[in-house]
Amino acid sequence: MKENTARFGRRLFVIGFWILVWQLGAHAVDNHIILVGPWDTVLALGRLIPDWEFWRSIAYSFGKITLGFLSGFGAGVFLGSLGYRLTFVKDLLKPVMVLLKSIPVASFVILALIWAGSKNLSVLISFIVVLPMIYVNTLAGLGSTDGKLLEMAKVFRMSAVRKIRYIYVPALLPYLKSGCRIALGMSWKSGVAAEVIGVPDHSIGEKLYMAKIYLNTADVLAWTLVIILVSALVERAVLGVLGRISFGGGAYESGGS
Amino acid sequence: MSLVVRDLSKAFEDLQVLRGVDLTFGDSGIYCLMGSSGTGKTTFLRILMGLEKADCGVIEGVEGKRFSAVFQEDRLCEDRTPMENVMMVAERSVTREAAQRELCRILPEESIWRPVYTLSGGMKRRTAVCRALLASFDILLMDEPFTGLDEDTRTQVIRYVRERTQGKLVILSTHMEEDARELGAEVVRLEER
Repeated sequence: MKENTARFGRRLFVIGFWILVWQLGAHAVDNHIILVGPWDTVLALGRLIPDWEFWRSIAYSFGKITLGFLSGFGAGVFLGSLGYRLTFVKDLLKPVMVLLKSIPVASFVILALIWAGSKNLSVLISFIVVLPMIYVNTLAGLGSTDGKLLEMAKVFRMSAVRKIRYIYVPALLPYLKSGCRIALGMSWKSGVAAEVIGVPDHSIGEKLYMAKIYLNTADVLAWTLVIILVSALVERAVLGVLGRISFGGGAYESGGS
Repeated sequence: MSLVVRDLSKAFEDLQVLRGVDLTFGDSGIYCLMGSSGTGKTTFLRILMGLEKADCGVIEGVEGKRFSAVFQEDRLCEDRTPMENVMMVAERSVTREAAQRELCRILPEESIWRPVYTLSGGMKRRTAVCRALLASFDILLMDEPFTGLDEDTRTQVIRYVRERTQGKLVILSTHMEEDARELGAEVVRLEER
């Protein structure tokens, strides 16, 4: 308890320190176009919050980026599992995944704009960014499965479902969690970047773009703050779900059926 | 039908582990495989389990037979409780209540609800033994099942194994003559080749 309080205090101090540095920086620059301080950012946010369009933009970008993330996650786990079972599939997918990882997001955005237009741009870009990360982590996680437990499962003729639940999932989860942590942040960064380039109506990217056009730095920072908050909340939710899976099946934990 | 092993050989690269092993086991009963370290007891059991392929030789009487095993290591799912470890391989007819009752015969009750990683080595071993006994099997293979158990617990587990394997074929490896005596087992020697 004491340790937790100390840790919380330390964290508060660190945050406070950097906010102070930010405020002092803004004060020193003294130019609202180049840099606004935290207070002006909060004021800008306060102006945005009552506006219906603010929530609509969040909902729009949240929906699109989450859809991209979830489909990338699902496809990554599916293809990773397939690649683990079938070397042929793994070899077949290797160049695709290398390509997806190495091509700059901006190039994808432009190509996606040509192919699919701006409406579903962030879905596609989030998907493309998340897929290789989750794929690689799924392969690594399944590759780390304890071979001795698999032998045990073979001798005891365990069903595929039980093997997945008791052997594969516990091996996979730590890799999926760390992959998710990075992939979630990246999906938001690339998703919003795609929106800024594609400027779909009612998106956070559009609002950022408009704020840039009007040199409204306070709005840019306010929207950035919103992106960080929403992305952190989504990360918490997803990691919470994965955490529940890892401790799931504890029907016997509290001493009975 | 009895289990007959004829001219069984197995080498790992240059190391010849089993050479021309001929053994016959009855339909039921407990057999203790004995022999000094390196005589291939574990390899022999692994071949019977289907986890290793023999280089040559014939094994008769295992077709359609269900195996259960206690491995040299416990091979438990460490983040699961003993109860879950047992239930994940137990035959369908084994209810949770029955599994709890069986586990409590060789483990302290509070330990069966704790994740395995919190248990002592002896408790893990007993969980592995109980898991093997509650799975459905015709032939039970045990690789040094009493390792890490203190004298009292060992006696208790041996009694439990004897009781639960009546009418079944059990082949176990051990270094201790005493185990064979207390189990009332027939000793089978695997000699160094």
